This record gives sequence, structure tokens and C-alpha cells, in this order.
Amino acid sequence: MKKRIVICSLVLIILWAILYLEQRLVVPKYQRGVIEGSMVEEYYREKLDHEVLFVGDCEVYENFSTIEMWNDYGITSYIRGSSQQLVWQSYYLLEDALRYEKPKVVVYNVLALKYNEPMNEAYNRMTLDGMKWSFSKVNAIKASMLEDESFIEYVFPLLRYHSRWSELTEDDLKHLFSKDYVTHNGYYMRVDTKPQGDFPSPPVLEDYTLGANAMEYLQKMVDLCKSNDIQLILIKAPTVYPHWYEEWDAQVVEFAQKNEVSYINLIPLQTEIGLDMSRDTYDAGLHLNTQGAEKMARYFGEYLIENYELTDYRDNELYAKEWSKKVDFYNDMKKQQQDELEKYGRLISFGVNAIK
Amino acid sequence: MQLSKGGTRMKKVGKLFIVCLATMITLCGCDQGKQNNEESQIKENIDRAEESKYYLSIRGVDVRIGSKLDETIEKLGDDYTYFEADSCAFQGKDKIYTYGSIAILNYQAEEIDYIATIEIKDDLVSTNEGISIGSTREDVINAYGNEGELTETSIMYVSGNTCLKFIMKEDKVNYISFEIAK
Repeated sequence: MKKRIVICSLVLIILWAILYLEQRLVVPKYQRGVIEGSMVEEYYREKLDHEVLFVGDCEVYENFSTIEMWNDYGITSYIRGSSQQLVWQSYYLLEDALRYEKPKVVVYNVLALKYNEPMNEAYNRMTLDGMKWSFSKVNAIKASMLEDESFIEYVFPLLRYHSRWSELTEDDLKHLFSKDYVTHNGYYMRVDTKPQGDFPSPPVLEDYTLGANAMEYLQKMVDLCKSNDIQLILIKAPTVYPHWYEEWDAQVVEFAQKNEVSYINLIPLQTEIGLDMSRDTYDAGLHLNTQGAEKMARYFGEYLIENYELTDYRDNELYAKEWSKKVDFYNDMKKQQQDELEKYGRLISFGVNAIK
Repeated sequence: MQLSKGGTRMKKVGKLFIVCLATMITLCGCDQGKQNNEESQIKENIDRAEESKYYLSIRGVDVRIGSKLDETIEKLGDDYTYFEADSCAFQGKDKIYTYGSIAILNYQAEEIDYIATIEIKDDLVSTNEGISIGSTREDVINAYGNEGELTETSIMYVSGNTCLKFIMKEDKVNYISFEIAK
């Protein structure tokens, strides 16, 4: 009897090990090309706290250089961003972050308020798969799932990704147990330039009212910050596509006034920030490049230190040592990208067409 | 000949191993169902493109929701203004072809572009039933009937895969679009 139990246990352990390895193998690694799926989990590798936390979509993780804010002001910040991060995902990511630290300021970009319901499975996976398991993750999944998604596929990603057997690459083996950093405290670097052109005129909407579900989660974010004595700043990034309607802006202004939180629409401040959209964007105006993101960081960093009691950690030995590594990594990647631009006329190791 | 106890044990372990292997192989195959569902939905949308009574005829070309974008653009000609934008994390690409008063927008499925939206942007172009920007609510109902979904700010008609939407302002048509029916 004992031997039977031992044998069965061994078989189960071996089976579990095989399935565990298979899962690690087939789950996308997001280490080359589309790297956005690695962003959420990188946060957990941070060793020190941050006084400023950004949450939101690509309008935060591509438009604010966290390293520039450190270099100029000693501000410790992290961008918990991800692609098409929906407002309920931002809320739960913030709630999750508060299990590890309590920032003084949280910054949320309001563009995602235009989405009132779950949108896209691929974006869901990129945001949610990287979260560590907690009630925040459970609730984020439940709030985000589309009709044809199932919770069990989030618990066991093998069920979702097993067909990737036919798409496995060298990266899947190389990053089976560990990943490289793809961001700089959440900031996604692109040094290339593609000038902004004309945008098509925006469609007329039937109804400009921001969705009730979206606004409910924004309210929850406000309440979460207040209950934790955190200052919340709402922003609209300084880029103009996708279109940000005046009607939406007015609702956010009213919401901010009613809840006594700050709201800054950065679009009209492009000139004040020093942005030149013929040079400061890498994708024709959708997002800032590193030059633009550094200008944004200098402007917003100054606003932060003038209006909030933030600490200049550049004189703190512990923080200075840790952040010097981050600065080195930032400068190395910047140089690598600039060298590639000079040699090839485009980036070949970064962006969707990365080939090495 | 009877198997020894050790032999029986190994037979059971072997059976368990085969069951596990079969499970793993089955898991590898069952996603085909999801993929086949997506393919059939795309095909259904394309097939239904011909069923809808709502489409826009311009330059002798019937522009239909769900039809292949490239084929339509080829028929319409190359005097368009083109805009494209990568979606976040490169999950597809937004493409907008503008021919003066008309804009045609895409959606991508398996790297092929299909027509997702047709917009009429000014009063120089009217629908096949003669409605243009500036037409009254009464004009719309006379042209399309009462069976649509009528609200204070919009009138919508659905046929096949197409939703024809009129956005109203002060009881006049302010915007017209053909979109994928939900």
C-alpha cells in the first residue's frame, strides 16, 4: 500500500513538473518585438520604494522618462503601465502596488475612460498575466474577461497558450526561467523620430457621456488614494491621437473638481513643455520618443516638486546606488538605439520588427 | 502465465503515463476549436457582406462592411488620403482611406484588412437612399422606415452585418456611418 502511494505520488510529481515546464515554455515571453507583455511583472523586481506611481496605458509608459525625473530632481517613480490598460485594470494594479509600498503621489492618464467594457483578449493577457496572484488579480481578471475567455485559462495559462508549440522561438528557451528588463522603471524607450503628420477628423459620437463602469472605477481610485493618504493627479497626455473630445475633458474637469483632485490636460501645454512634434515623436505623433519623454519628465517633475512634498533622493546613498544602475542601463540602451539608427537608418533590435 | 506484483504495478504506472500523455496531446489540439471559430466568424462576416441592404455606392463601386479593403480601394482609385496608426503593442494597424467626403476604416483579421466603417463626412455625398448630412429626421424615416432604433440623438438600422447609423443634432442628420452590426 505504502509503495503504491509512493509510486502514485512520484507519477503525479513528474506529471506536474512536465506540465509546469510546458507552461513556462509556451507562455509568451515578450522579450523581443512586442515587449509590452513583460511590463507589469517587472515592477515586482524593484528593490526600493517610489514616491510617485503612474498607472495607465501607453500614454504614460511612452511619454514620461522616469530616469530623467530622477536625474533632474531625484524623484523616485515607477510607471505601472501596459498596453490599452483599462481603468479597472489600473485600479487593481494600484491596489496591488499598495501591498508593497505607499507612494505619496499617483498619476493616472484619463484616455482609457473612453473604454467602458472589456475590449481585447490580447491586451488583457498582456496586463493581467504579469500580476502576482492576489485578490486584486482575481478581481482584475473578473472585471476584464471577455465572453469567450475563462478564468481557468488565467490560472493555468498552459490551457490558453499550448498551441504555441508550433511558434516557439529561441527566446522561449532562453527566457524559460528569467527575463531581461525591457523598460526603465516602466518607461519604454524609443529614440527614433517620425514627425507628426495630419490626423483624420474625429468621428461624431452619438453620446459623449463617459461610461458609468469606467467612472465608477475612477471613483474607486480616488477613494483608494484618499483612504491611503495618497495625492492623486489625473492627466491627459500631450498627444492628440486617439482624439480626446472636449466633451470628455469637461466631464473629467467636473469630476476632478467634485472630488478635489488635480487634473491637468497636457495637450494645450505642448509649447510650454517645449515639445516639437516634428522631432519629439517616434510614431508620427501617437507617442513621444525619448527626447520628448525627457522634456515631459523635466516639465512634470518640476510641477511635482513645486506642488507635492517629494524627497530628492540623489543624496541618499542607498537610493543613489540603486538608481545609478538604472541610469547606466538607460544610457546603454539609448546609445545602442542611437548606434543602430546611425548604422541601419532604423531600429532593428527594438520595436515590433526587432530581429536580434 | 500471471504477472508478478511488480509487473502489475508497472502496468498501472504505464497506463497512468499513457493517460497523461494523451491529456497533453489533447490539450495541444483543443485550441484548434477556438481558431476554427475565429475563422468561421471572419468567413461569416465576409459572406454576410453581400446580404446587407445597407451599403454605399460611390464611383460605381458598392462599398460594403466586411468586404476586403484592398479590393475596394483598387476599384475606387488611388486619389485618396491615407492615414495609418499602429495599435498599442502592435496589435493590428488602424488604416483610414479618405476620398473627399468619404472615409473608409479597416479592421484586421489574420493580417487581412476588411472594411469596418464607412463614414460620410459632409453633405456632398448621400446614401443610396438619398439621405445626407442636413437631412431631417422625417427624411430618414421616410427613406428607411420606422423599424430602426430611434433615440433623441440617433437613428440606427441593421441589416445583415451592417448597422447604418444617423447621428442627429437638433433633429437634423449630423453624421452618417456604416458600421459592423453588433
